[in-house]
Amino acid sequence: MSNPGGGTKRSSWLTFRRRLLLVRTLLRGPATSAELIAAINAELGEQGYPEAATAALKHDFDALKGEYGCGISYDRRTRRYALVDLGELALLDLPDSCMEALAFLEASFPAGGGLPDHANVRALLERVLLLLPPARQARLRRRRSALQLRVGAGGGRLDPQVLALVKAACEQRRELAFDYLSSFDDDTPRRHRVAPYGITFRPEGHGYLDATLLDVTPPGGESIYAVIDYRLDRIVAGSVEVLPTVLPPERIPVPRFRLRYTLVARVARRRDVASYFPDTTIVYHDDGSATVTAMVTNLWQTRQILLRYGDACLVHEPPELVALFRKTAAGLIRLYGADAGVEG
Amino acid sequence: MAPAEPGAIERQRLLEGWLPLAQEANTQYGWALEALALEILVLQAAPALAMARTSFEARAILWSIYQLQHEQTHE
Repeated sequence: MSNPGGGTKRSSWLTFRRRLLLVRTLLRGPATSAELIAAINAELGEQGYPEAATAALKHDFDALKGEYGCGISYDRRTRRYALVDLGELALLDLPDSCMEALAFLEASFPAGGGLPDHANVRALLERVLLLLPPARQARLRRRRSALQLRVGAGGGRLDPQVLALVKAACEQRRELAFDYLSSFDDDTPRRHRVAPYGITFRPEGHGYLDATLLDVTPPGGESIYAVIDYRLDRIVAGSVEVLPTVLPPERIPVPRFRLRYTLVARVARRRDVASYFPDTTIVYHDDGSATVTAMVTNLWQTRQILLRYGDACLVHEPPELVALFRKTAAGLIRLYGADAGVEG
Repeated sequence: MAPAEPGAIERQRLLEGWLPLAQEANTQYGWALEALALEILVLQAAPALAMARTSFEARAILWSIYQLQHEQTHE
């Protein structure tokens, strides 16, 4: 029965608002009834649930199912409610161009293993899909994207605890220690203490920790304060420790090296040489070759990049990088032999 | 073998990380602090430095701790 002040209208609006909030809360993830009631009351205060909150909550669930066609499931083991279908409340619709973008993401980040799981891309996509009306969801699932990124297919399995601790150390700006088995270690990992700065997933699917080396036991060929990309799947599970030392907001100053290399005419004659490094300067010569200078911090990564040129690139400096190339060349000769015939 | 002094390693690591920034501030603000004084400044500022989100904030913290130290020595 309405009163002269419009009480019923106000009460209906409050009920509607409470139910929308309930849906919003469930969109964040499954929750117990106590958690749901607390979330609603935190937002609505006195206008939240009455004393008999549990009964009112059940009533709201019934209304959401009956009036809006929402699907809400209950897990007896965890005692949590989950939103499985938004029904009429699937209010997100998108223009075709955005649907195409969604299909692109769906194709590029398929479920199961690798980068999508680690970066929670799948979780985001599933949430967005849930918000679409059923017909649009079905259309998207049928649609095959002509475009797709190939990311993460080659990555090995990452230990979730390793990833979680490395992420935490980067976010909290704290030193990190772990046992690491590099390509140059035989069978015994060595203990590295590093300043961690971020995680990168490369197209081949491997995840890397970008860090500055502070200490390594027993010492190896690495120099202290070197910038190293640590492959996450080579960090020994169970060995990771986030240390109490908090790092400065800016990266610890790292040694910078002046890089100078020559590209032969075969790759430089079109005068469209790529700039891979900071402060790159390219000088093209009359014979078609080019001399490139730049500043670099990570010699290992620099070597990986310049190896793309094969024998079309000659590194002149820094000497540390030249030494790395000599080591690589010696390894290649061991593999292929020095007397192999030259083709082409 | 006697165990390492508690906190000694932690102290060393803290200095290792923050001394370059403290040295920068030392030059920028013309304090002319010597190595030991700079270390004391970093150790005294350490709890607050851990909360600094930017280098500017960190330098401001070092500056305020320096001012406090300076006032105390001139009282």
